[in-house]
Amino acid sequence: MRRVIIYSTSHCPYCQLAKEFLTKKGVAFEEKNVETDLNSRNELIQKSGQLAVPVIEIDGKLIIGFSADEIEKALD
Amino acid sequence: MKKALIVGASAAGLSAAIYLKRHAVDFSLIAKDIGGEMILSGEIGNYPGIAATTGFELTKQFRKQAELNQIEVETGINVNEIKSIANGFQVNGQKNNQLVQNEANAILVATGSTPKKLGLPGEKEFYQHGLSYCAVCDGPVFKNKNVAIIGGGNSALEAGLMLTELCPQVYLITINDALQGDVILIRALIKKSNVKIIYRGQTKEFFGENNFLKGLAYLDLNSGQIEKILVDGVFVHIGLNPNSDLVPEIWGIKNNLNEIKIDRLGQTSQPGLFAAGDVTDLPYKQIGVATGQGVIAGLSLINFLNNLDA
Repeated sequence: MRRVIIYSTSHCPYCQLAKEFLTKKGVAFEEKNVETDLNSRNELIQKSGQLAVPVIEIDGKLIIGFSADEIEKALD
Repeated sequence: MKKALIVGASAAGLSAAIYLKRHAVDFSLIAKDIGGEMILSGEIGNYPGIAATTGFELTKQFRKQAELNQIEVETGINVNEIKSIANGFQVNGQKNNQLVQNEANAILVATGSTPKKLGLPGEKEFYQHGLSYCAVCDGPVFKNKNVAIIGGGNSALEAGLMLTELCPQVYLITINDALQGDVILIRALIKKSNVKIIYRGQTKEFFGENNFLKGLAYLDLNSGQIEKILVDGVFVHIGLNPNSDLVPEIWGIKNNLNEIKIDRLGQTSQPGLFAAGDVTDLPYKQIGVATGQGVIAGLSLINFLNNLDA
C-alpha cells in the first residue's frame, strides 16, 4: 500500500481539491496541517524547501501543488 | 466539428455552459481547471443570492450544477491558439505535452485572468520560498511570522484582513496615496492594531538567505529614500492580467490592457467569437459579473448558431 501524505492548511482550496481527488480514488492519506502543527511545518520545509501548500508525498516522491495528472502518475 | 466550444470553466464559462446544455447545443467545454481565480477567493459576501460563502464552496456549487446538467468538462488543457478555418474555428492546446485540437462553428473565450507579477529582482527566486500570489492558499503557512502585502485593492485588503488574524505584524505597501476597493474592507483593515499601511511605497526588490525570503526594499516616494522591511512572507496582490494570449493579435480585438473587446451581448468583432468574464474589457472583475456575462454570451452564441442554421 502506498504511503500518501498531504501537507496542507485548513482552508487552502488546492489542498481541498487534492484531498477530494484522493478520496474519490479511494486512496488513504495522512494529512499534516502546517498551520496548526509546527513540526509538520518544519518537516514540509525540510523535505520540499517550500513555503507553499499543498505538497503531496507519495512513497517519498514529492508533488508541489495540486495536479491530478501528477498524482495519477505517482500512484501508477 | 462541434457547434460550439467553451474555453474556460470558471464562473463565466460554466454559466454559459448551463444555457448551451439546456438549449441542446452540441458543444465541448475545455479548461485548465475548474474554478480558476474564483476558487482562490477567500470569503465571499457579495455574490447575490448567497448570503456568505467562500471561493472553494461557490466553485463546488458551480461544479455540482454542471454535473446536474450533465455538462462534461475536460480539464488539464492549456489552450494556446485559436485559428480561423472554414465555417468556424480551430482551437489548439496542450494536455500532458500532447496536442489537443478542437473545431467548432462558434467559440466562447472565458479564460479569466491570472495574478500580475511585479517583475522585480528576487521575485522569481523567492516564489514559493516566502513569496506568494495567494494569501488564501499560503497565508496560514506564515502563522506567527511577520509578513508584507504588496497592493492596495480588494484582494490585497482581503489578504490583509486574513493575515492580521494569523501574524503578529502585517505591512501593507501600496504605491498609491490611498487604498482602493470596497469601503467596508478598508474600514475593517485600518482598525486592526497589527497592520502598518505604507502609502506611496514602490517595492524595488526582495532579498533573503539560504533560499528563503527575509524581506523587501521599497522606495518611499515621499522622502525618496530606500527603506527595508524584514519579513518571512510577502503576498503580491496587485491585480490581474487577462488570459487572452490564445486570441491572435492580428484580429485586432484586444485593447491596450490585452483584454478582449466585446459588445453588450458578449460578441467580439470576429463573427462567431464570443467572450465573457475577467478576460473581457468590462471593467468590473467580479464573480457575479462574470456569471451574468457568461449567461449573456451563451445566449448570444445560441442566437448566432440559430441564424447560421436558418
